[in-house]
Amino acid sequence: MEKPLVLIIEDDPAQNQIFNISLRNDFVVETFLEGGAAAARLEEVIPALVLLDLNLPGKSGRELLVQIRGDKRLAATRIILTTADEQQADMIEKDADLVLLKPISPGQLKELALRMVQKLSGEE
Amino acid sequence: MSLQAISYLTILAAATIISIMLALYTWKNRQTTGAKPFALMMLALFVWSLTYLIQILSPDLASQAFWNKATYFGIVTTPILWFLFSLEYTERKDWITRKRLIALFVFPVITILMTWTNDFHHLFWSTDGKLVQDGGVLLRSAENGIWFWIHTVYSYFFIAAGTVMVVRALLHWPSQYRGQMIWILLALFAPWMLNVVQIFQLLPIVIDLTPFAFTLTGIGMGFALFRHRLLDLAPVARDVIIEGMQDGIIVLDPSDRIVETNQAVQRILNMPENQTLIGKKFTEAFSQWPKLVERSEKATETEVEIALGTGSDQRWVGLSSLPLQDKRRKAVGRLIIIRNITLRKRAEEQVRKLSRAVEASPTSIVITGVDGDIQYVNPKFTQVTGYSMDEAYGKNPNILKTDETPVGTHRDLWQTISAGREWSGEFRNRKKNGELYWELAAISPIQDEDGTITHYVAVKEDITERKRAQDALFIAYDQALEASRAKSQLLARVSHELRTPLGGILGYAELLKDGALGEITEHQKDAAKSILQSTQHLTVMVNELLDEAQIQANTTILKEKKFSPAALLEGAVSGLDIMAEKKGLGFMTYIDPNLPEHLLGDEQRLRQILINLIGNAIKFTEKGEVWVRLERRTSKQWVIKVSDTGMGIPNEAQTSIFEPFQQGHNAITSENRGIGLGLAITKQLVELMGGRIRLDSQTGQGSRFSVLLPIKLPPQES
Repeated sequence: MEKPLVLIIEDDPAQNQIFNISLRNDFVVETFLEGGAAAARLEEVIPALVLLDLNLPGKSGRELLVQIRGDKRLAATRIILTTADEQQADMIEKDADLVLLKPISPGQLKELALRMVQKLSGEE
Repeated sequence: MSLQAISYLTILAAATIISIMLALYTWKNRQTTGAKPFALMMLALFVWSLTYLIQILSPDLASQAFWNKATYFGIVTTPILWFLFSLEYTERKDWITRKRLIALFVFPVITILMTWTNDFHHLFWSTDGKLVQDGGVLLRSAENGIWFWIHTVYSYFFIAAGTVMVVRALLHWPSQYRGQMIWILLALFAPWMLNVVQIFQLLPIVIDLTPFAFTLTGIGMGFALFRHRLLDLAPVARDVIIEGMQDGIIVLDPSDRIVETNQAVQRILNMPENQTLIGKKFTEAFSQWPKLVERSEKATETEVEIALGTGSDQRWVGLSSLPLQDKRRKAVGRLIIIRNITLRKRAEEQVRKLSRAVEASPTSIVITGVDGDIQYVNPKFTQVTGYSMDEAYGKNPNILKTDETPVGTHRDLWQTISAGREWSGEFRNRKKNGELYWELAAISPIQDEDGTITHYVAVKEDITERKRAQDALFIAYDQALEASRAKSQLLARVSHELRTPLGGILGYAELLKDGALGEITEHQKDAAKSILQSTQHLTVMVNELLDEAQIQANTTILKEKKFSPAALLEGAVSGLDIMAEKKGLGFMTYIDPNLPEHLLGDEQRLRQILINLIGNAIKFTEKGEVWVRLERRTSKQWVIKVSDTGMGIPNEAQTSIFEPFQQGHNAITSENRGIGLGLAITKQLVELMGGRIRLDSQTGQGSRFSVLLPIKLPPQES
């Protein structure tokens, strides 16, 4: 079975790497450190999951969220928002499938990511 | 029968008819003063005339003698009744007492007895008498005896006394009645004139026409009595006036005996109404009110106001005492008039109280006429504006007006109050010294009974200071709000700045520990675990600090949504049950089947509460078990109970445990680290949800935390 695609969009390199290591065994991982490149890539692929940080250089997490939710092609794409700002997270919670407040445990992230994607494939 | 005889008989017959008619008519109107004795007198005259007429018509001496005696029934009573009438007519009725009345009639009764027993003693008629034919009339003639003359003197004495009294009264008539008065006087003197005529034999009259003369008197007085209504009108009017008066009247004679009074006296003084005052001594009749007696005893004209009684029973009486004098300035008594002035006095007192309140009022009070000109200002107005009462009087309140009062304020004010409604608003006014000030005013119209506006009253307050304080408060509030916002922003920033590196530490430590970064030794693994634990602890601290700061800054917003209590419990205990198991503790949960399947609430915060309480229970329990129960308590309340078999919390710590930065135990071990915010946050969150938290615990007996929350049901899904 082919591994699902996950886009990790996170500007903090350490955090980006941790997410990458956590998920690379179970997903095909593509990582981005800024929003612009990620936005362009989202035009080309249909990821099963997007791990999206809110504070990003280039295009912001919020803009990307709008882009994904506005793209019928990506209707099945699941989004996990990762943020360090609780109040900010509260405001856009409803547009994401899950909001994780940093610090995030890699083990927990892996479990949640898998569960979401499995649920997705289960529905199909 | 001769013409002369016929004319005599006609005269007597006329006297008979007139007298009976007058008697009957007067008796019908006997309520008129003097009417009763007058009617009786006319009846006596009727008896006299009629018996005399029968005597004259009788042919023989025996029957003439009988009827002659019968005439004395009328003859002896007429003068006495005339005298009694005169007494009543001249307002001397009080003289008539029972004893006197009897005394007056003793003599006439004796006279009648004398006439009928004359045959035995001949004291009335010295001879038996004989029939004499004179002028065509046959009449009994007898020599008069001694008693006849005594009777005559007695009768004329009373006729004279009555006539003098009546004439004196008539002379007091107003001059416009003089014409009628002459006729009445002539009628009064008719018996006298007739007697003069008969005694001096000026006319050849053979019979005694005295009954006819008295009938003339009767006609005259009857005219005065009924035709002209002079006699009855004055007393009736007098009664109506005196009795109808609101004021009480007491007339005293020189010896201070009450001779006249009216019902108003008793009404005003609240005395029993059936009590007779006339005839009593003034001081005795009113002994209950010594003040009243004392103040009216002055010989000079006095006018005083006196209070009678005390308390709610107190009555105020206005007293006027006037000495009464006759024409020769001789004191004949006193007239005392009393008025009930209680209501006026009470009103005056009310006015005095209200005036005092207005004078002492800490707000300015201005009263103007309908034209707006000032009629009154109170001392506070002077104090605020600098204008004295004299300066303000007659001026328009516009003297205070400035352009700084919003346009339209004055127009709106006049429209409102001239329509009869109250207006309130603010003015920017100018004091006498030029200083500007803010004034809060309530202006209302004063209306009379018809609803016509007579005055305007303004109650005003200088609110310059208040406005200044208010402005300062607004600024302070803005600043505080700004500071609060800045604090929240700072917190959010700090939180963000702390969370990002924490993410790195936690992530790498966990990856290290799990071997995701390559194989490590046990020793290294333990180190990684320690890093992980410290990081988790730090995370908890950051979360708690942020929560507490948010609660303190009132920026915590509950996100109420539909949730399932069962799912809430399941989510909250996952992980914690493993912790309990690791410590060898029993861990049990229970959900009351009566609890609604779905509730409305902030699930995330409820989970936070549950995790905090369960976490504490596990943390502080060394052996035994931890119970978590979700129960429906009443139809309006549900409860989260978390109990343990731990060391318990001593009484003295049970309240402080909910304070921020407090811990129930002094010993801080690796197992119970924390900064002591958990319970404080829990309590504040519970209260934010409209609930309360309760702790039941005893040292060594475990603890039970109960979170009581209102049941809120999600809106029905259609």
